[in-house]
Amino acid sequence: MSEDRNSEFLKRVRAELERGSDALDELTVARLRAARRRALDARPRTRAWFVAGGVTAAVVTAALLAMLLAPPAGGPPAAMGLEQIELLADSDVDLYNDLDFYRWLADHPDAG
Amino acid sequence: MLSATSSGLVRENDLESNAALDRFLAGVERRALRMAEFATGSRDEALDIVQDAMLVLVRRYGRHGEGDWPPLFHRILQSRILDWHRRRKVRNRWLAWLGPDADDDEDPLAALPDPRARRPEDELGNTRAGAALEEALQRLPLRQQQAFLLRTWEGLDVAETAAAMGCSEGSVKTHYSRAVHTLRELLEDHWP
Repeated sequence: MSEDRNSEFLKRVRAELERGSDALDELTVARLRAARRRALDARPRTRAWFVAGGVTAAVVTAALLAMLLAPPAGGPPAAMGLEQIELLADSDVDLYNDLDFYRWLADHPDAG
Repeated sequence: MLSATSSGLVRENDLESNAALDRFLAGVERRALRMAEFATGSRDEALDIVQDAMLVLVRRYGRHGEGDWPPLFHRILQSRILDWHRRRKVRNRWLAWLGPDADDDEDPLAALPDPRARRPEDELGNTRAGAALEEALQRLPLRQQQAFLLRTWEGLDVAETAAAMGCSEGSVKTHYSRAVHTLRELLEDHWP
């Protein structure tokens, strides 16, 4: 019962408050509209050059990455995977490690 | 080319976002003004507070999602109202300490009623109950007034009201319950 009376009371309060805000005079409504305009005009704009700069930087970075990862001309075919590139690199290291042996072999032809 | 395209997209996004902000503020500004007016007792002060709240929302949170705007706006508005009360309290203390003549250098014209201003009963559709409600709301302590208006008029739940007022949910419940009790007593002649 008390809840119902409270609910009815609050409903009337809300209706009265709405009536009051709907009945604002024209001058006040105009001042509110002007305040809103001023606030919206003060909104910081997104700078187009900043966005364009970001896009350009992303494109340049992607191009650099592509150049670094791309195989040199005349190298292994484009379809070569990362595993194959690793194998090739390993074999180069072996060749470098054995270089002293090949040099010694050249200096001592009789050893063969 | 790239710059022109991004510039166009940026402008389009800004316009859409501005239109959304405009809609939001237009939907909330009258109630915000009335809340600030109940709290300050002055339409000019209330307009200043609402404009300030709008500016802060747009500048700091305009880029947030639309769903974030209502709680942020209410928080800013209620903080500004609270700040106004604190400043006024400090000012009154100083004036009391300096003596009754300390405020004499104020513009005497400022104390005159504004001929363009409408009386509260006019604003509330000339209803006696409306004028009584306005008077009763203004008699409530500020925190009770805020809790009551946010819960009853803005339709915020307890948690949202607590966020807007910057206090605990328990405090909101206490303020709200006391406000309803007091208002019922003050308005029982109009709404038994």
